[in-house]
Amino acid sequence: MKDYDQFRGEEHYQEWPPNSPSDLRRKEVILDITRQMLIGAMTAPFAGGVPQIEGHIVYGQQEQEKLARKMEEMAFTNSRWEEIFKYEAVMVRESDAILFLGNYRCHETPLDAGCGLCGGRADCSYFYEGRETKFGIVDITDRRSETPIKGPLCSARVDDLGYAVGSALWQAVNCFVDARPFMSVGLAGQKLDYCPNSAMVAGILVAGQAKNPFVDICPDYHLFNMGKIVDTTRKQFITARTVTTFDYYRWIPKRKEDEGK
Amino acid sequence: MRYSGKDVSQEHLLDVAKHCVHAYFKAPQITGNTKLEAEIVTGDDLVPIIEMLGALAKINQFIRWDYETFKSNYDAGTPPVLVLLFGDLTTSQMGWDCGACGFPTCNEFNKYAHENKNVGQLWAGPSCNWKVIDYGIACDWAAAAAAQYKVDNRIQGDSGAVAAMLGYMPGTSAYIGLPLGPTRDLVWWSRSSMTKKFSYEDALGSLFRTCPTHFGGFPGGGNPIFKNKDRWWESPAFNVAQEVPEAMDAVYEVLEEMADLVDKYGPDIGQKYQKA
Repeated sequence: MKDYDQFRGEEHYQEWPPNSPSDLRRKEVILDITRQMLIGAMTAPFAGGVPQIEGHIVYGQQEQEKLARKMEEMAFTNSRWEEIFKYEAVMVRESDAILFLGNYRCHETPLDAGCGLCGGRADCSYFYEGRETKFGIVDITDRRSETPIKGPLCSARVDDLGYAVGSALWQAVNCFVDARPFMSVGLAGQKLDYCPNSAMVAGILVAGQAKNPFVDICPDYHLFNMGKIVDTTRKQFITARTVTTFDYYRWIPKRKEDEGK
Repeated sequence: MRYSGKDVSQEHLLDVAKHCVHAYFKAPQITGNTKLEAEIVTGDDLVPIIEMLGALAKINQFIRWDYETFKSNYDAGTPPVLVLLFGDLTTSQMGWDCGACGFPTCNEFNKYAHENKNVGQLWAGPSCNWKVIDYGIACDWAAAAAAQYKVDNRIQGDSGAVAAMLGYMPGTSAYIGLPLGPTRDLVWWSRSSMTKKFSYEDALGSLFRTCPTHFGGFPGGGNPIFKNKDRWWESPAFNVAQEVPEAMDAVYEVLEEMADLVDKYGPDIGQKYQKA
């Protein structure tokens, strides 16, 4: 029982200043919830109950910066998604944790049910004709691809990835934690080898802050966001102080109505 | 006022179904462009769906289990409430050119999909896989809503697919059915409705067909004995892979039966979607 005598203490939580002990303590709670989201994803309903989901959790200033920069690099590879990637890179920096969920069967061990979802055919030929195979076994060793994802994929498996993402998000909602799934985060995460066995990966940003960092954003959000504005405030005010400098031991300027008091 | 617990719990399934649909439409999307539709079916309107499942049950073991569960509960006066969760996933407006569909660009995919849209054994395609994820998230939220209210439920391809064949929600391509209740444990899992509906030999036969490797003898000789009985070494059996052209005959018969059911029920079901 001696150990229980040590079960005492106090914990202070506050999200400002960022990465202070009180903020990191808060982030640690979000990390625990992100792990619960991962388990929610693992237990989601899948076709035939087959295990097919892998997860990867990423957190920490350096790791998030690396991911955000990868997204910014990818932003300029497609004009249709340039703004999306740039805006969502900001959200990566502002999130508390990132959950990647991937399906490691959708390109290699499909459902084989002829469901028709991938190509509208009743025999899975759309998938198999688009892949290297022998006797129905898919050869995935050639991973070269001109597109971010090497398709075609088994869409029934991709649908199950949707269930996994859904259950993770549901878990977040139940914990009153903000979470949102992103294509951009998933594609960039794949490039960084998160969920390394999966052909399709969704990235879920998770945050437990006063303001949900994934909604209500400004136009040109990569330029007008909290990080940038705080930094320009630091830049501006420091110089502003030097403009009207004085020796406050000798004299402090007062409002006219307060002079002589 | 006094209410029977059994009666109100059965009635309440409809309210839970509404919560499921609510969660389905509210679910977060990655594309923000995925078109979702939903309907709720119960009571006598389940009959065409049950009959379609009954036809398919003749050639598909898993569908037989769903058919028996729907039918026994309908016959007992406690029909499940079926939430139909449909979506159209066949067009990509995003221009992300991600390649997951097998085409290098969304434009090429859209052109192919427009010219080749067709149905498989359950759903229609081709599909944009980001929309497939959106659809999966939404279906998951519908099921999670049911679970939140502690209602026995199961995400199904078959009840959704036959409803689509009967004409529910035209213009969609993905079809999921989510039956709710009746309100007791073990309706759609460890199904109590299957009590004494099949034999031990039926279950073993299913394992023999689906997991033959599990019953394989020593493989070193190149042709392992298939252990299909306790004293398997006495009159050895072997696995043989052969094409059986007539195997499809039963399928064609079932397809004809289903076509008749669509002729019988389809016009009434489809009438709702006729423009005035």
